[in-house]
Amino acid sequence: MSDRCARWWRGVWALSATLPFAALIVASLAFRWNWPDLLPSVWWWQARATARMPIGWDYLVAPASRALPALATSAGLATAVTLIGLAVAWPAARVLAHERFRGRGAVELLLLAPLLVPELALALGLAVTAVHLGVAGSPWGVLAAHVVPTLPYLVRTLSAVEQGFDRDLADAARVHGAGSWAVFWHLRLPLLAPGVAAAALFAFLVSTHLVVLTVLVGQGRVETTAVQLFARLGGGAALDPISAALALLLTVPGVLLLALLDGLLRRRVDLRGATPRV
Amino acid sequence: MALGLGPALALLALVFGAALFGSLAQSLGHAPAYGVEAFPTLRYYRALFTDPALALAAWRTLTSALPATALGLLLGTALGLALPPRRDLASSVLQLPLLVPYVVAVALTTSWLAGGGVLARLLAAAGVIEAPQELPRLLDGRAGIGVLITLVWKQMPFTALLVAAVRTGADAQLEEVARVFGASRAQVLRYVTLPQVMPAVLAAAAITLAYNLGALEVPLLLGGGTRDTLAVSAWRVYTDPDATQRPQALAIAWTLTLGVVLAVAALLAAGRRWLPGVAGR
Repeated sequence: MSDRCARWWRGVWALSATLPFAALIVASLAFRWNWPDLLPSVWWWQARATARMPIGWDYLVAPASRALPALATSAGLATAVTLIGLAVAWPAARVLAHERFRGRGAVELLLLAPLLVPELALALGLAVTAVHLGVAGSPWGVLAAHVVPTLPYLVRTLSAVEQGFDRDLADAARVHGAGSWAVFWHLRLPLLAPGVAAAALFAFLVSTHLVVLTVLVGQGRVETTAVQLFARLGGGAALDPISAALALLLTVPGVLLLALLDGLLRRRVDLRGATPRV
Repeated sequence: MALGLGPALALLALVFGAALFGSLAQSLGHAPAYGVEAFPTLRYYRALFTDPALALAAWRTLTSALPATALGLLLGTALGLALPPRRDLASSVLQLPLLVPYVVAVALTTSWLAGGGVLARLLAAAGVIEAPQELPRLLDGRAGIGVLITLVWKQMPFTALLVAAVRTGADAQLEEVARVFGASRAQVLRYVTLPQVMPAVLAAAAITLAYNLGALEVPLLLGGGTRDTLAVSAWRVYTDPDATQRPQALAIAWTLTLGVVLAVAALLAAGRRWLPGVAGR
């Protein structure tokens, strides 16, 4: 592929990846947007006298919409899922990165299995189990359910992070009298932190995206932002301002992650440059 | 030292295993909570082969998943080859579809392709159509364009990033060497570049195929209620007020899972055999 062709193709795709969001922004800020106007005939700021805020956003901050509690549920669930996921996946990733053992293939396959099983099938199965255990419709059942699909991502990214850790460094520190806590605190944590943070952010994101699991295990009583948007979509009609605002709200974590990841990964490269190459 | 695996495996075995076996039992007729106690019966699985609506749903699952997977792979691989070795703003930005949930992708597709959406307004401004109804039904029409576009838009960057990652790890000089020795551009692509990236393409193919066969949100929200796939059928049966039919939903889900696993296994086996560069890795 020639360079010019490649640059053109990249530009087209960068545009198609971002431009669609413009329609959401316009829809969420429109006051009147009649057919066939390309842009709203009355924007929200031209109607400030009657509208305190854009229609979609005004609805979202109103208590009746339950949008803010749903946002809090999303964030709380995702934080808990990330912490549990890290606690479970990090030790496993460390083993997978450094040890050779029998049955390794089977273990890797099992840890990737949640990627193969359709989310719907997993959700139906967990919904049945949650009813048996009496946690259906409670945030705890949803929390346990959310951990499953985040595990494959966490184990994979954390294995890669662990593989980048030079174990000779830890041995050298031990030879010089460092205890296991000192090795963790002064060596592993600073060296691995950027990669682990990136993996954690990704797990957070995966949890905020889960709709089917949340609806079926939560029996509709655990409402996250993604679930609220899901409930409003469909039917072939044009997008209303409220859905547009919800969709924009759901885009924020991804954009933040993109910005943070860029910074984190650059830092990791710097750190790698600082460690002695073998 | 393999102790570290304990928590992860225990959690998967407990949650995942409980889900699989609980739903397997229910699909075989054990659902006392809904007054169904016919264990063991294959009635619900038999329905999959006798009910024409479900056979049609299986067919639609294939016809919506396979084109989307193939198109996404093709475009994603091309994009991955076009990505520069050093990340610039454009290659950062194009990850955006990967980082938003499928429901947001559905919202975007709706805002652009629905009857009164941006595309219809653009066409009206250009004088091609006069009323929103004149726009072909892209979302809930028979062709399923909306589902296809949404899945491809969301998955293309995934394949592209996997391909680009392999490219940065691979020996960049190989292509130059081949050129110096007189290989044409097409030959370099066929004998050097593609074998290099094939493992990444195959991994992306397996993951996107598995997702697309079992996808629920996109075909449910953009299918217009007339083109139910297996996943959508299972969802409808399960969420139906008549809870006695729930074992049927689980039988559909189990069959779907089995189908996905078989399809991915077949894909990987075929890839190992026929694709250059995959064998021996």
